[in-house]
Amino acid sequence: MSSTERLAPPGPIGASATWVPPSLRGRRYGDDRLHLLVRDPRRVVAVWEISQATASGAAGKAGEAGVPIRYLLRIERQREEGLAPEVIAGADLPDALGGEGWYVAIPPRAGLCRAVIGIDLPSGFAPLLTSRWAPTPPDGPCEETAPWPLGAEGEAWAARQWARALAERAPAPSSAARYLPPPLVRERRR
Amino acid sequence: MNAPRGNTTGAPVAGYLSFFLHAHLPYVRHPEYEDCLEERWLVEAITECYLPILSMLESRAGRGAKGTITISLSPTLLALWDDPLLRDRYAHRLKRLLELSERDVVRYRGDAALGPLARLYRDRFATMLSDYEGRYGRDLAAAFRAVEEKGVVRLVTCGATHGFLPLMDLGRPAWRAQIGAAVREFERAIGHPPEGMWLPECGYAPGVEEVLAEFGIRYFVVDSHGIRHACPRPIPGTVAPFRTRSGVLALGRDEESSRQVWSATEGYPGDVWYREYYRDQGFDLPLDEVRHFLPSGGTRTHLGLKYYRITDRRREQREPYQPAVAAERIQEHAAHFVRARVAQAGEASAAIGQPAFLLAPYDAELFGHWWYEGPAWIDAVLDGVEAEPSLEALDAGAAAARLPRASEGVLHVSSWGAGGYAGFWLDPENDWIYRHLLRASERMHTLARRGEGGNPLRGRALRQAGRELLLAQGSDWAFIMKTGTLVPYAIRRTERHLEAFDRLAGMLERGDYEEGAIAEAEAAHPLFPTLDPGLFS
Repeated sequence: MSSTERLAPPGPIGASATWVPPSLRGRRYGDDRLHLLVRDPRRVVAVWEISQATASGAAGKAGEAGVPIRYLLRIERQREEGLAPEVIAGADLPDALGGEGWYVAIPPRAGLCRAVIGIDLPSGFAPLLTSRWAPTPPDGPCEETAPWPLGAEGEAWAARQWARALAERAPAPSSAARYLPPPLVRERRR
Repeated sequence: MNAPRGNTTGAPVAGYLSFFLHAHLPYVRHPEYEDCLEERWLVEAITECYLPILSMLESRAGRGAKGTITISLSPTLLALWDDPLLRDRYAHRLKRLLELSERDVVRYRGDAALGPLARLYRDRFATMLSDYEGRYGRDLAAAFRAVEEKGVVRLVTCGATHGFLPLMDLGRPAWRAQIGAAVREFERAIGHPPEGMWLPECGYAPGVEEVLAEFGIRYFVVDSHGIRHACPRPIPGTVAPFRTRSGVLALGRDEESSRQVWSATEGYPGDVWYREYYRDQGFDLPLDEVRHFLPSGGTRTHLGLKYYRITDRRREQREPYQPAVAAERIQEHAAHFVRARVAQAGEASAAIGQPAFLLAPYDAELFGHWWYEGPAWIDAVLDGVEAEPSLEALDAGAAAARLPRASEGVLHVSSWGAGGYAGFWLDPENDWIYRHLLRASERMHTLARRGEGGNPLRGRALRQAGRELLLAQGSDWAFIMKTGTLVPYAIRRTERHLEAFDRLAGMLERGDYEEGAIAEAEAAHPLFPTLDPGLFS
């Protein structure tokens, strides 16, 4: 099973981590923090810490509304500048206070995404933490084409090049393998 | 500096072939141990890769051969080369290797197959030792600078500690520290500013080009899909440079060149006549005979004495290596590579109306280390290109400068790692590091903005906190955790740098400086002596 397959359903960070040093395992810094990291065009990872003060405030709001506290993670995308962001993915965070991250599948599209953690209230979603905007890549070539003068042979050449590029979306083998056996004489890792 | 050497036949050029070797090792220095396994990465890389590449370049310069390549020297690698302790240790370990090879000469006396190989290794190590101690004066940066002066190579830089830029959520301030520190360290070691930069793991994120422009970088390298997925779609793909909005050029990896070196089915290094990497005296000899040469504790490892060829990848049996036959295969593979590039450039240049740009980037450590014959193959390719009127071998910057037109548009996130994005560095095996790294990065940003306040001790603590953060950010640690090799070491290093950072940041926040603790941290990781904390602000 590849890690990508293992990650297919949204899941928590750390579930399959090999080992985390005791000094850092579960360490809390006592402040609010939410980051959105882009893993690939189809998956982002939210990384957070919720402070005691924010957790208490959230519990108070839920109590006032008479509902059990329920933390939610939302991924929002900015479609166009000036427009309100749209929610493109989300997850329940049952262990929002003890947990620290979550993988979320998103529809691939070039643009800007951010994570928002909040609580579910009868009046709607109440945001608590918001990450910075993070750029997400497209999953293939752009539909719009830049002008470049080509002759008749050039059109055929370009068509061949792009047909191959579309067929082979994964990058060509690269090293990025300084500590791996060479890819040719042992089983390749990629 | 001499002008880059190129084709001077006057014939129309259909393309420029740019070899780009990225030389990098993480900062591994352990004075607390007499000999540790991870420190041997440097020994292996100098002996099997950097010295053979240097020797190849010197030979080309000496015979007036044409063609220029690009080599990026990462700042951590430059720091390792410059470290007096590691210089001593390298010389010592090379002497030990020479001693083992002399024993092999005796061991294989009378053996028609292995005897000549033993003598070859002995002579090779003796020459290396003599060069390292004598001609180079243990200063590899100066040795590379000298071949650059002769016009056969152009040296450029890489991120300060090979931090993977797309996962630095803080963005610009974090990128400025990695890029700015790299540029300044390169200039300090090499003597001129770098014109190009190898982004660590080819990891690009929108906005990085603005920081590169701020530090005078003219080009950087991205993987093929980094160019192909740009908007609007650039019709020439990677065979033309790509101008970003900051004016800095993005140069895309040519997939065809890459495939012929890396592909499991088409790649040259897997040829059955080439030297097998895995059969090594460190494993083959009885432990009693080799213990003396292994790292502390007698852990078996590669020593660099390898006597067999790949032979047949489907079987265990290996036959003795025959350098003369391998040399013939090098020529054949080089000729094949050049023919393919000539054809590729011919087609592409006819289509796009200007010479094709063919960028062939690789980890330098492939050549000589994983692929023993690699440096000789590059040499043969460059010779082959010299004989081809339609192709020129130029360094990346010179080639890009000769091309009248570049594509333009917007690039998206990409890397050259498996899958093409950040997946190798952000995965269940290593994802736990980011919560700590990102927090440390923001904390350093805040501390740097407060400045040194005229307190020299505060300045030292701030600089060292910056060093520890940079070291913790190195992409190598997450990479090792993902690959599953030497994972405890990578975890320890991440933890150690984050803890050191935390201790120093605590002092800076409290305004309570422990000189002994600062000095201890400085002594443990004495790299980037002129690091400017302002880069983090």
